[in-house]
Amino acid sequence: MSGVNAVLSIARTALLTQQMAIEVTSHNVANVNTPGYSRQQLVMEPNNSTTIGLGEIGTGVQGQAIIQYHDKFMTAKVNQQVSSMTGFEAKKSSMAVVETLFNETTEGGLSELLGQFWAAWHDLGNNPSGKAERATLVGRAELLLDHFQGLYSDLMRLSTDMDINLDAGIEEINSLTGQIADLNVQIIAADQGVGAANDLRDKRDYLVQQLAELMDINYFEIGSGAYTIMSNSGHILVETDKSWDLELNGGLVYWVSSTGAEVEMGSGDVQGGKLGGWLAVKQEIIPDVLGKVNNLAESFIREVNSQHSQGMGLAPFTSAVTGSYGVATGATHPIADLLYGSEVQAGSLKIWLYDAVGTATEVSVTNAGWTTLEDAVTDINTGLGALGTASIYTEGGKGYLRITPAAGYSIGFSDDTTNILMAAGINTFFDGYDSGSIALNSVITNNTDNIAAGTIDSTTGDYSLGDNENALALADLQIQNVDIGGQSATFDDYYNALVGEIGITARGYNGGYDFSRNMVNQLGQLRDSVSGVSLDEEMTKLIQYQQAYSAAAKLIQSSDEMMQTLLSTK
Amino acid sequence: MRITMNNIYGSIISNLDKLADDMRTLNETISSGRKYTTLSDDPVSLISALEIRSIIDETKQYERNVTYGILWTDSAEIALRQTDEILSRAREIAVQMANATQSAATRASAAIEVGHLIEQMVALGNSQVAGEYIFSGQKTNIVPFTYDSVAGTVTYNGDENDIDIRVGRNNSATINKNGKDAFMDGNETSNLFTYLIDLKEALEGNDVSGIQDSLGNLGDAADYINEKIADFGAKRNKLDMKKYIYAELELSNTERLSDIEDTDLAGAILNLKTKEVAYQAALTAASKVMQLSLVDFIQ
Repeated sequence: MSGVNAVLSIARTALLTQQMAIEVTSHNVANVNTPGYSRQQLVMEPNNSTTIGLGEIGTGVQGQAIIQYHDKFMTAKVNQQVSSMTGFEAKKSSMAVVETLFNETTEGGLSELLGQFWAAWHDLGNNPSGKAERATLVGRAELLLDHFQGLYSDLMRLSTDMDINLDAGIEEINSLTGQIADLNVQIIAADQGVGAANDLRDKRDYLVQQLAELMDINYFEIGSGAYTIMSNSGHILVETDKSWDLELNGGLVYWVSSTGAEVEMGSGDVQGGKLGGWLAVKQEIIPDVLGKVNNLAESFIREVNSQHSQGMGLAPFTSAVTGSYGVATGATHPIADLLYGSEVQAGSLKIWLYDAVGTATEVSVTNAGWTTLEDAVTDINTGLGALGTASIYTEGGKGYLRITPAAGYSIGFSDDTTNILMAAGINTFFDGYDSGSIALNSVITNNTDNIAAGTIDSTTGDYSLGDNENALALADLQIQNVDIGGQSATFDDYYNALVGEIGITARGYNGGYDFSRNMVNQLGQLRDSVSGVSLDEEMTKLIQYQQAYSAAAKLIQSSDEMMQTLLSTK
Repeated sequence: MRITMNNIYGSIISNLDKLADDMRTLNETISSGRKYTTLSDDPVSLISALEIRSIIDETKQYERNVTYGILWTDSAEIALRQTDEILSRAREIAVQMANATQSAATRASAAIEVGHLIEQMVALGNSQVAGEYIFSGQKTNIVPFTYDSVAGTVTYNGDENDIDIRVGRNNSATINKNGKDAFMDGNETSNLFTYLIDLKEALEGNDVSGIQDSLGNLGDAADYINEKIADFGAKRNKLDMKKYIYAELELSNTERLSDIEDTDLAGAILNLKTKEVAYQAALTAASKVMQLSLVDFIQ
C-alpha cells in the first residue's frame, strides 16, 4: 500500500513511538534517585515493509522492547563485596568496643593497675608492719579486680548485644527471602506476558543486595526468570516461590529445612554480611579475648596465692582457718575437683603451733599421694595430735578444708611444697578463678594483718614484724615468667601481647572494611555507569525524541496538505 | 566511562567524607597531644609504649625503695656517728681519770657521767625510723637494747636477720645492721656497752688499773664503730648510685615514650592545613560540577 494514507500511517507510528520513547525517558528521569533502578530504553525497529513494484517500502516505526541496562556480572560482584564490607563493618564496630575496654593509651588501664599492685607490695616490703601500706595494697587489689570484673562483664554484655543483633538480623533475612520468593512468582507471571518485568527485577535485585548486606550468598537466575539463592555454605534460602527460614535458638543460628530439621550455621558457614560479622564476634573474637583475660586472671590468682600461702601475717591465726575453695559434697571430696586442684603435688608443708607464750611447735605433714581432702585431713590430724584438728567444713553443698588449733594455741604455715594451702584457699590473698569471679579472700578483707608480708623461719618457727621476705617475693612475681594459658610469660608481657593482638585485629578489620568499601564504591561506579541514569543524557534524548515527535507532526501536516492539494483539484 | 548522576554525587560525597575523616583524625591527634587514641591506630608503637611505661613505673618504684633505704642507712649512720662521739667522750674521761692525781670523789662523779653516756648509747641503739627500731634485725617492733643499770648489763632483744629491699630486678640491698653486729661485735659479754659499763664500775671502785684497761678497750671500740660507719657509707654509696641511675633512666625513658606517643605538633598542624585546603578545593569543585546541567540551557 502506498499513497498519502501511507504517509499518514507512518506519521502515526512515528508519533506514538516517539511519545513512548519520551515516556521511557521520563520514567528514567523520575527514577534518577531510586536505589537499585536500572535505566531503561525503548528499542525501536522499522515496521514490516510492503512490497511494491520497485521493491520494499517502509511502513514506519514500532517499539520492539523496553530493555534494561543491567550488568548481571557486575551486580553479583558488587553484592559479594557488599557482604564482605558489611561483615567487616560489624566486626569493626564490635572491635571498637573491645578496643575501648583495653584502651591502654589513656590512664587507668589494666597494665597500670597491675603495676600499682606490684608497687604496693614493694611499699609493704619497705614497711612490712605498716597499716597504711596494707590498706593501700587492699585498695589497689580491689581496683585491679574491679577492672578484671569490668572486662568480664563488658565482654559478656557485648556477647549479649550480638544475640540481640542476630535476632533482628535473622528476622530481616527471613522477611527478605520471603519477599524475594513473592517477587519470583510475580516475575514469572509477568515474563510469560510481553517482555521482561524490568521494574520488578530492579526491585528484586535491590532486595538481593539488602540480603547480601546481611549474609554472604550465592544466587543465579533460572530459565523461568526466578532467582535461586543459597547461603555460602550451600543451604538453600530461596527457590522459585519457596523460602527457607533461619532461626536463633539459644544464641546459635540454625537453618530450618523443609522437614523442620534444624541445621546449625556457625561462623564458618556464614562468613560475610552483618550476620557473619556478628557470628564471628560472638563465636570467635569474644571467646578468644575473654579466654585470654581469664587465663591471665587464673594465673595471676594462682601465682599470688601460691606465694602468699608460704608467708605469715603480722600474727598467727588464733582460731580455725577455713579454705576459700571447696568441693561439692559427695562420698568424698576429690582434690582434683578443687579449682586449682591440679596444682596439688607430692611434697610437704610445715604447720606451726604457738602456745600462749609464743613457743613454736613444728608439725610437718607429707603428701604422698592425696586424692581427696579426706586424705589430707587424716595426715594433718596424725601430725597435729592434740595440738589441733583438721576437718572438712560443709557449707552450701560444698566441703572446705579447715584447720583448727587446740585451745590456747595459734597457728601459722610455712614451706608448703604440696600446694594444698593454695588449692584449698588457706592463707591466700585472692578468691575466685577467672576474671569474672576474682575477689579478695575474705580473711584479708576482714583483717589486713593477715596479709603475709613475712615468713616463718623454717627451722625455729620464729616470725617477726620487720620481715618483708614474702612481700618482696610477691613483688618479684611482676618480673617472673609464669605459666599463663600454657605459655611462659610475665603478666605484663602476656597482657601487652593481648592488647597488641586486639589492636592488630582491629586494624585488620578497619583495613578490610576500607578496602571492601572502596571496592563496593568502584564496582558500584562501574555498575552505575551501565545502569545509572544521567540527567544530561536523558535531556538530550528528550530533545531528540521531542524533535522527532515534532517532525512526525510535520509529516501529518504535510500529508494533510497533500490531501488538501488532491481534494482541491478542480 | 559513562558518568551518571549516582557516579557524580556518590564520588563527591565519598571524597568529602574521606577528607573530613582525615581532618577529624588530625584534629584529634592535635587536641589530645597523642599520635594515636585507639589501639588500632598504631598497635606496634602502642606495645612499645606500654613496655616503656611499665619500665618507667618499675624504675619509679625502685627509686622509692632506694629513697626508703637511704632513710634507714642515714639514720643508722647518724646513730653510729653519735655513738663514736660518746666513745670519744668516754675515752677523754678515762684518760683524765687514769691520772693518779684524781681523787676518788672526782672519779665517782665521772662515773655518773659515764652512766649517762651508757644511757645515751642505749638510746642511740634504740633509734627508730617511722616507729620502727632500726637495730633490732627484723624484729622492728621490739626495743633492741634494754639496760639494767643495777645489774650493769645491756641485753639485746632483736634477731640477727638482715632487712633487704629490692633496688632493681633480682638486685637487693641490705639496709640495716642488727644491733648485735653494730654495737656488740657479736659478743654479748664483751662489747661497746660492757666497755662503758666496765669503765663506770672501775670509776665507781676508784680502780686505776681498771680505768687503764678500759682505755685500751675504748680505743678498739672506736676503731670498731668507725668500721661500721664505713660499712653504712658503702651501703649509702650503692644506693646513691642506684638513685642516680634510676633518675637518668626515668628521664631517658620518658623521652622515648614521648617520641613514640606524643604528636609532632608542627607536622600535624601542617598536615591539617593541607587537608583544609584540599577540603575547600573539593567543595569548590563539587559546587561547580553540581551547577552543570543541560536543563539550564534548554529554553
